[in-house]
Amino acid sequence: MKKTLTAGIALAGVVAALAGCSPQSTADADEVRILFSAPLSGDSAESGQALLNGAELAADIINEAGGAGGRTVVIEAADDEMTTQAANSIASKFAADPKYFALAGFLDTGLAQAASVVANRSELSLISSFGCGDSLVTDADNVFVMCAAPDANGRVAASFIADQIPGATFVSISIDVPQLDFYFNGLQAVTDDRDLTWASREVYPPSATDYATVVTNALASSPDAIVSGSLQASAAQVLSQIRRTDPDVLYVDMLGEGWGSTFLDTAGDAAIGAYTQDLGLGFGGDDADRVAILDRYQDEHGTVMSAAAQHGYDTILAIAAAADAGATREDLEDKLAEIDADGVTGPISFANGKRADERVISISEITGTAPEDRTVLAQYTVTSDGKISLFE
Amino acid sequence: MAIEAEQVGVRFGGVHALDDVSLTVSPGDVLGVIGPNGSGKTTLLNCLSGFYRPSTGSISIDGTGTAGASPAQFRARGVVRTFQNLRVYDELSVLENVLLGMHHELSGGSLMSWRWVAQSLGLPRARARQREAEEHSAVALERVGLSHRIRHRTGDLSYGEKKRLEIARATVGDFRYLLLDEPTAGLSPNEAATLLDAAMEVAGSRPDTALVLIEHRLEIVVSLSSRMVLFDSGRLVIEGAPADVARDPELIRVYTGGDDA
Amino acid sequence: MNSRRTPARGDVFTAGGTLDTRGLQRLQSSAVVRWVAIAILAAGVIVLFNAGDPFTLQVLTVALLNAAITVSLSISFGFAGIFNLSQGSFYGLGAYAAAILITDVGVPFWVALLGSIAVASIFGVLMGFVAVRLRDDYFAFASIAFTIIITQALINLPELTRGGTGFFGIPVVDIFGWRIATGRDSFLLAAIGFTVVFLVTHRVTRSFFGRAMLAVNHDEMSAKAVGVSVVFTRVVAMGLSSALAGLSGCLLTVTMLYIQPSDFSTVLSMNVTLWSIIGGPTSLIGSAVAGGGITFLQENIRAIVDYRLAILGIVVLIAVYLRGGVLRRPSWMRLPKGTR
Repeated sequence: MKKTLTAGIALAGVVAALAGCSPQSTADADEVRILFSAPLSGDSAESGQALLNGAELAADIINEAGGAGGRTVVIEAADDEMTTQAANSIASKFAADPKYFALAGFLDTGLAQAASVVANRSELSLISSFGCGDSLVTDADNVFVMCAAPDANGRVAASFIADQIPGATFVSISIDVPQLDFYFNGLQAVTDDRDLTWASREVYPPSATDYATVVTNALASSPDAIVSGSLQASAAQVLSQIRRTDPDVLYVDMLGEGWGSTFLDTAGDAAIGAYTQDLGLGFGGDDADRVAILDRYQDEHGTVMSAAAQHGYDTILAIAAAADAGATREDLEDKLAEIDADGVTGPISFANGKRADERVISISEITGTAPEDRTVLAQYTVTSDGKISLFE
Repeated sequence: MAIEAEQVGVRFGGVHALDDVSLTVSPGDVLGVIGPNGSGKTTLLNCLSGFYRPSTGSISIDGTGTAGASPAQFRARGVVRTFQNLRVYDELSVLENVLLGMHHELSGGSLMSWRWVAQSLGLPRARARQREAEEHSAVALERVGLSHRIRHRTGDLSYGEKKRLEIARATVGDFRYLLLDEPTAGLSPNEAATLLDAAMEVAGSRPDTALVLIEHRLEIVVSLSSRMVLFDSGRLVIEGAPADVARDPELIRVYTGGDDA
Repeated sequence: MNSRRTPARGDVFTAGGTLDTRGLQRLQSSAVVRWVAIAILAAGVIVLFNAGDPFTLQVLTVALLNAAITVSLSISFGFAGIFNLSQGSFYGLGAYAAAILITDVGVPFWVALLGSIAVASIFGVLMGFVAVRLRDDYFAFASIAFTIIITQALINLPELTRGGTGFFGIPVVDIFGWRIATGRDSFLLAAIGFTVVFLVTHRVTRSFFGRAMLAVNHDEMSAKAVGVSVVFTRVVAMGLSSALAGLSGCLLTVTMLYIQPSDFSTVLSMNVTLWSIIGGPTSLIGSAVAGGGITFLQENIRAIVDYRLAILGIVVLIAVYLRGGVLRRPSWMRLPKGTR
């Protein structure tokens, strides 16, 4: 009995202490505090951390330039563990505490959806940095989606192939996860439009280490091009195996993560001649400001600024632009609709609805084994209504 | 109205635990079952209560066969029993153990019935039935002298008390055939007497119930039974009036392992 | 000591023949304390409903539902002794059934509720039959396999379940005029749901069926001898505990308005069983406190990024160290006076 009472008191004490740990506060007039939700533990931690890194870099750069409307941008990270429960509680924390100017982040459509329900109850909006699904704009009305089109990367990959080899036959090799459905939709849309032939779809489970089978199957139909739906290391391994049999087949990325040192080190010389997708004007692109940002990220974190990181960056840019225009927590929705900024991924605006209006994606050819050895070959603009065109 | 075993045989591998056993237990009987260890007494009890299925032969209750019946179904037809190695629930209280003996009545006597639902939900009629069951339990416990332990944890009881509890549980509800498997083993003479008095009171001395008693102590069996059977190596060797069986030279031969049978 | 009276209400449990005066046991069996506790809880719900902030209400809503599925698990796990590691899946089946019925079929709330209970029960009964055949560890494997199958089915039947990205766009439901639109409404609904689950579980486990489950759990042979059907008991136990999980799942759907397959993975199922073990598998209050309390704790320390997992681990260790439970009823008090 004593034990039970002691346990009960101890637990009650712990809970009370913790409840007291997070007091509510009024908004701090000097800061723009952004509650940023990303998976910081578990399987997606790497991408989640990248998302967060991008956001924090944006905050730093903005603060160095004087802040957003004179106020300091503060990023408060919250680990959403890729679970609905966490997303809900983070969103409700945002709703409960007026010190938070905005809720952003979310690597995954699902989590953004969960959060949107909660935020909606308090009539607040949120910004989904990387979660890209259509349902975010069709089934909800309080989510700003940073990504213009979920199928953009797929569209660009196919468009590039069509531009290089009209009427080509291609095969895709990718991880078997449902998140890639959007990418495939993009591939399919352009395949239909531009008269390509998508011969087969080879998939492997996320835990696979041997790609011999998928490679053999892919090459069996002697395709003109191979679309890669793999992350860096596996993309490199697949490429190496392909090159042993077929040194010429066109190999283009569909995920748009940016192939950096992991890819290059794993693939070695086989990397040369592969085509990678990058957001914005590409890593070898012209914009000096943009290149500076990418370099700084590389210096601070030791890896290339992936798509996730770039989206995280642009999210904060967008919020800061709204804050600069005098937005408050309650009317953020209205002010965001009016912004017009230039981000790492391209121009940022929400004129046509809550989805970002356009996205620029570049295709670069890898020319050497060092990260800087690449040449931008083509730049595409994908708009929120799915149109794709060469970037002017 | 009787349990009839007809040419029942039970085989485990190459061993005949029971071999061509035929006997009848009618209401009013007190059947004493004796024999050396391993002679098939417990196996017989298991057959009569549905725990073993005869390999050959059949068991019928009141003229109806029991092929494929489960122990629960045997219970439904009036057979209750105790176990040689004492099976009571140590973690439950004495009252709850005995209340389990009322399960058959509380559940409405069949496996799926409206009464089961009502009883589980605690509807008013069900609560009355529950109270009734508790009263029956109190009576059963008093009969075996365990009233003062009614709310104690069964695990705290002595061995002798637990044996008495098992009897109370078996006899708390309606039954016709009470099968006891060495109920006095390990008990002092006083405890044994109390227990057997209770068993006789509730089953042995009534015209509508029968008692089957596996017992080692010859004098006890002889004094209580109306009929006795002797088992040896799975076969029913002698059957008859207790006094006759007790004097039968076969008995001595079986117990002392004389000439080969 | 030969007291011959029949047991009366108000008796305090004794061990060793003397009247027990140890405080907590007195407390736990006192009707007055029980009613006071209920009054306090009810008052708490009212206060929170009116004054709670969105965060606390959100966390409590989830905590209440988690407590509900933990409490209902005690039927199959604690009482019937079935090593049930799939409670999360029945929760998910109920949730998805409700989502599909409300959104795609367009039925009113109470129909969806019945649908959730039905779907979860059917699978529960199925697993109950499996439990009759397989014992303990083997059944544990089977239930894990079941959980994996259900999760995969939820992901790979997109026409039905909208696949891996989750079921979104569930409309706000109307329960006889009460719209579950705000965090307050969700909280109240969860509190009501928890109460219902608790009451049903309480009734059933303290009934003669509860006794039958315990009998089958601890000694099958003895149970059979008194006429308990082992098959029936196991099947119904699984069916019941799953049905209540399904009910909770329906409430999850209408309060969160978004569900995804990964919400009901093996992780959740294992957690529920763990909470049940911590709280005491046959203690309903313990299960509720463990399930709800750990959930509540998890969310409240989310801000403490660095030590969060360590704190959780330490709490679990403390609870388990204190011999098997946060609130453990001495076993012979499992079925107190008033057992039906």
